[in-house]
Amino acid sequence: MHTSNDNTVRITMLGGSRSGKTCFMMAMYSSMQTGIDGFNFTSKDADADIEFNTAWKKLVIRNDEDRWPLGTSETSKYFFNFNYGDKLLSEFEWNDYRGDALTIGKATDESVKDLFQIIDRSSCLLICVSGEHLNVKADEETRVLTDSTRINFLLNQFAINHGLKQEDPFPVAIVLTKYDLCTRNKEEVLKDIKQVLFPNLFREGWLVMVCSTTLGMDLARSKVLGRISPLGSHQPVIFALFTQFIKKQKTYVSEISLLEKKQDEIKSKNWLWKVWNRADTKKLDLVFKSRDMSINLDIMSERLEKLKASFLQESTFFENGNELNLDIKKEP
Amino acid sequence: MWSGIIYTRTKNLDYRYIAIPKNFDSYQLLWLETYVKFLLKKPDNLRENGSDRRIWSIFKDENYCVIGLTCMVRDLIGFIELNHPNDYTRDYTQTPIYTFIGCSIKLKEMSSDVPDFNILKDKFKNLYEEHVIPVWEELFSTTSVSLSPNINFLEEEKKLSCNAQNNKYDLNTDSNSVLIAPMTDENNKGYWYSAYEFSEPISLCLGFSSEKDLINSPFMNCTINDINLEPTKTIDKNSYASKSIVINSQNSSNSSSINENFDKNKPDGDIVNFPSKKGFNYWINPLNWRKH
Repeated sequence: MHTSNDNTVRITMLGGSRSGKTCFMMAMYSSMQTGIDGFNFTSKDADADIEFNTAWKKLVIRNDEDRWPLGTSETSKYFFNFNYGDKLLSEFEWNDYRGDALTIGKATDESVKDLFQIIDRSSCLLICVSGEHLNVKADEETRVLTDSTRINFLLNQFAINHGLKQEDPFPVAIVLTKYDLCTRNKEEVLKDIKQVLFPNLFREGWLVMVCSTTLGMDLARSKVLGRISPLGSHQPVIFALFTQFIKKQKTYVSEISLLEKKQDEIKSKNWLWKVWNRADTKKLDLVFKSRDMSINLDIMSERLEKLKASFLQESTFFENGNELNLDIKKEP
Repeated sequence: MWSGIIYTRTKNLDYRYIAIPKNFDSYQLLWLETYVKFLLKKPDNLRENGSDRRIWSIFKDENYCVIGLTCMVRDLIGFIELNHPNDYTRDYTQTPIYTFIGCSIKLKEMSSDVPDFNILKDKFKNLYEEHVIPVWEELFSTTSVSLSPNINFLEEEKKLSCNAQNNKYDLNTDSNSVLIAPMTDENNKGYWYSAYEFSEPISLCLGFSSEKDLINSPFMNCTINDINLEPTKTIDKNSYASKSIVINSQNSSNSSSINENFDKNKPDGDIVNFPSKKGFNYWINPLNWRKH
């Protein structure tokens, strides 16, 4: 049994029953097991790894209705490591729960209590919206089909509990799953998401990524015979981890700044104080500490630069309601 | 008389209790939930290697006995062709459905006649059709039906016939351990008969796929469908759980989430003052971290 610690990145996917959460997780794990640009995932539990691989193999190879995993009836937690090559960068917890805990459960049900707790402790939320519901202009029916009303309620609760700030927006990825089933153009879909489905997320306090994913464009032709060839499944989780790295980055920066202030304080003292307090040794210690910190910062910067190239393409970002224009150049 | 229990999903609505016994209070429901949750934790085990599998279970506390079947619905009510207008075995995305279906009775009302699996399956099929089909198309239902006791196994003449009646099987009664036996027809019938007759709190399930599934199991006794299993044994649940394999040992439980053990052989950079309050757009560009 694995448990998380206070520093574990917690990722929770919200979405109604049959919105594709479990399959999305399987595709994400499959693509990140092989790795992208040197970044990769490993499951912390050997049994879970076998479970994922068996289910994925079944999905890819079989050509009957039993290729698809059966719906999740209970909440499950999975623990992964996020690595660069063979170096561990971060560990994260993924929460997969029964979809309709969102919609039909009572607040007193265990699964619903679980869900509230999980959301409250999350480092990043992934909202799953099935592309099959986005083929017509969004209206009240779309809200019901995508469970957006209930999700908005949960997001509002979360915002109230945590007091979101403009300078530190909370990351949310809106994942358009089963995008093979959506035939509308992306601008129209994006407009619906902003104006009809999740307008509250495009305001102060939220950092939003919108990305489309599919297990294979061929699945629109046949769910049973269609070829499995996932697209975009790694992007939301990398985004989630990336935002946590940025937080860590900010910590490094403020720590370096603090060390420098201390150095300046020592510099400003008179010679007698310096001799009495062994100022040279203290200063040297501070210089070493800030240099170490700076090295960490440099290495992390380099990794982040590589990381962002692997997920920012073909996604749209909004910070405090404003669309970000990102100039990403992927290394050859 | 027995009261029905159904946990499954319908065409549009997710897994939930469709029917619960009328005389169950919240304590009893929580007790039931422990077993149902465990039985449905890995539903894909119900259709391994291209064939469907049934898991029978029986569990008793001080007041009640529950008998249940966990299986694919198509195995319970029969296979139905895809796109058939009366397909009650798949949801709206055409994904096959599974169920925990069973019944409960007060211990003091139990008869001494142990019902045969085939009789139980037929009864449960009727129970499914009677209570699931009427709510099959519902879009917004939130309540379960409370069922009064009305199932009677005694009307059937056929009862469990096995040598077990003369040869009782020893059951494990310690909730911290689990007795594991190979799944054979004789074992299944023998343990089933013994658990049914047992007068104290007990739990048994028949037909699990492997030992590893028993981690955190509420069951005290199980038969396992594993040809490599040695003869019957009892294992400590806690020690078993601690033996689960952990991969990627480079982590420790107290390690930082964002690992700081970077390669320190990299050349030093200039130390500069950084702004503390900048947006995402600023921070994704590493040039900003250095040149400010």
